[in-house]
Amino acid sequence: MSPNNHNALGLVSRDIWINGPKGNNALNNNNGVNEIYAVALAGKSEVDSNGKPRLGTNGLPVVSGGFGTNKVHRDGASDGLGTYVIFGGVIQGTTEANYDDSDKNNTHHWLDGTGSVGYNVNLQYDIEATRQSVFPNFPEFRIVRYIEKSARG
Amino acid sequence: MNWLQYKMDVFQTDQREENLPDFNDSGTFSAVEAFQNKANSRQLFTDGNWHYQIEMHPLQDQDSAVNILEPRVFTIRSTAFLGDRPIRTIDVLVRQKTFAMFGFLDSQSQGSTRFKLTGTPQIFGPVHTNGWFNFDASSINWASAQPYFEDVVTHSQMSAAAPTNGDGNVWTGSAPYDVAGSTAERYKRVFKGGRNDLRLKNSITLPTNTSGLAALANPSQPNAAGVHISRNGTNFVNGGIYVNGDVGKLNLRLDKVGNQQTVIAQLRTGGSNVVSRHVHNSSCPRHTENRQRNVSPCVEYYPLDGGAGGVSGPPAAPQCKTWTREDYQATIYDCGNMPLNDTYSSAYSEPYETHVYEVTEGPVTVKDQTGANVVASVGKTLIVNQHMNTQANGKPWVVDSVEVLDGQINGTIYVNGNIGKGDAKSTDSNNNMKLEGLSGITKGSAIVKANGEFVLDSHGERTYNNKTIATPLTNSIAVGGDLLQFNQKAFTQNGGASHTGLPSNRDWSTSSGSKNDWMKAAIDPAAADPIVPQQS
Repeated sequence: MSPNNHNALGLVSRDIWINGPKGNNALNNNNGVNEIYAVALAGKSEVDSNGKPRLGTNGLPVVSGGFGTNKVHRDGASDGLGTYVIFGGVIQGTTEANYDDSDKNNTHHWLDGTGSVGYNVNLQYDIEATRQSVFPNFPEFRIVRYIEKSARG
Repeated sequence: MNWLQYKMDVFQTDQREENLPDFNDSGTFSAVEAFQNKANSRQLFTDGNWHYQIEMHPLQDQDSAVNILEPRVFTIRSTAFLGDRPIRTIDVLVRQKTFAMFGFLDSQSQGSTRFKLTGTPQIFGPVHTNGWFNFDASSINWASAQPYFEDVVTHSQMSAAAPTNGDGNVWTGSAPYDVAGSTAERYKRVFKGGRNDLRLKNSITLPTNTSGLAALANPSQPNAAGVHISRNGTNFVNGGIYVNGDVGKLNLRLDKVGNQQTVIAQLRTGGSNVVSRHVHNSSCPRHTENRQRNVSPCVEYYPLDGGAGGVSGPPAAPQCKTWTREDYQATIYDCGNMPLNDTYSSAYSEPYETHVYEVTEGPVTVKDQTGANVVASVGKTLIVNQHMNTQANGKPWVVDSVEVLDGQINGTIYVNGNIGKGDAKSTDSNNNMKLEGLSGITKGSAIVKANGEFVLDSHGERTYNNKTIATPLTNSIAVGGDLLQFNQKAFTQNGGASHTGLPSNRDWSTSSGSKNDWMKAAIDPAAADPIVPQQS
């Protein structure tokens, strides 16, 4: 894993598609596997015309975007079914189609249960990759240090 | 902390800097001071002899130096007083959470997040879903399995399909609980911390935009297509790389001394060609003439045939012999002296590339558009703009401009468009531009002072901003191959890499070196923890 956070990479977009070469040694550092050292945030909360969060019928925020394989690659004989290894993390909206996508087949596929669709994605957590100086945050805080002591001189 | 979270929640929605809890207004943290005054005026102890005092300090300097995307850090001190005597003090350091903390987060609030449990440790970071989990335990051996999750696993919803004696998630195969409740031993076979590591948590809202990242890359965000690097009045870099328009290829490379070289390829209008086409009558000169034409009514008819007996059909309609005449103006095309073809101007697209060198390790020399050498010394940023002349024989690359700026980019690369195409192969091309998408070897961007010196840490080592590559949240990034990570130790041990001039460092087979050149400069993925399949 990374020795420090100096060279960490963050990716932020709505959709992050993986469409690299499958099992191609010449294009994959001689090991046939696509390796990604990054934390990938692929997704968004949908907003309405007033900029307010768009809520679904279940009252929960509607999300779009995801990390996966585009439908045109997911089951191609020479496209899908490769292997990606992520050294970092994946934050994604949905594996389903995007909110405003008229083509509801346009989903974000990892390998499905049949083993015949999409890419196989392996996750390796990298603690140094979490220490990125610039990456989206969310409104929660964690206690880094807690000291309780007498205040009497 | 609730107040901090509330303020950050408001900021996340509107991205307005003045709503940050530590917004620095003319040297004072006005929001923090207002909160402190209000909190300290509320004394909740029933015993009037006791009261408390809260102090909160944002950990940033008075110049509001941190960017709006940096996690906020605060110290909070709460001191309990009995009368006027301080009795007990609690000092807390709190830090805002970043999405980067997750090993995996699924915001699929409409349904379940599925994991196929394998009986071996496979996820080492925190996992969260805004829905519930579907744990497939059909192949797990409850007697010998090792924990699949090594960190905390949280979910925001309870499945209606989960039994009341369950944990709110769906288990396929056998579950780690029975009618009597949870089975501690089984939970320990799935979660390292047992049942305590599977928790219900409030949902986490994904961002609605990336405008903060765009502003970090370039405060003014130019509208013109192309690559823009913001600089101040003295040509000192004061942002990252901002790209307007779609990008076919974004390749992170290293040169032979270890400088990071970012290559950005775009398709832009290259010029126009003169194209021949057939001339239509409407293009000819014309004039008008006064002419006459027949119009109704008929003035004189031919006499009807009187017939000579025999069988006849219905009487024939009378035939008009003379029509009424009318004057009109006719348009006459004078095409007699015109060529059959003419020409027009047609715009064409060509690949454009911008190479941005972060010159941190050794000087870089390139030739400018006149053929003269341009040298960028350590501490500078070198920008080379070139395009492929698709109209010339051999389609040569032509240098358009070379610029040397002081200072370094801040590591943020923002593309106001798509990077690569998710529905194209990474080997596809469009008008001579490859659609490789994103690939390469990432190296951090060295932080420099206003005078251009590198900022060093307490050990005398350089400090770095990580690379962040972002688009608007209406666009996409296609990852077209390996995204490796630069490793100084490997680079030093191997005497450096030699990647200059590679068409792409995802394509080692075409380099002059060996396929394994990348090992000279990057972390070796095979040397990491064992790679095991994770999610199905």
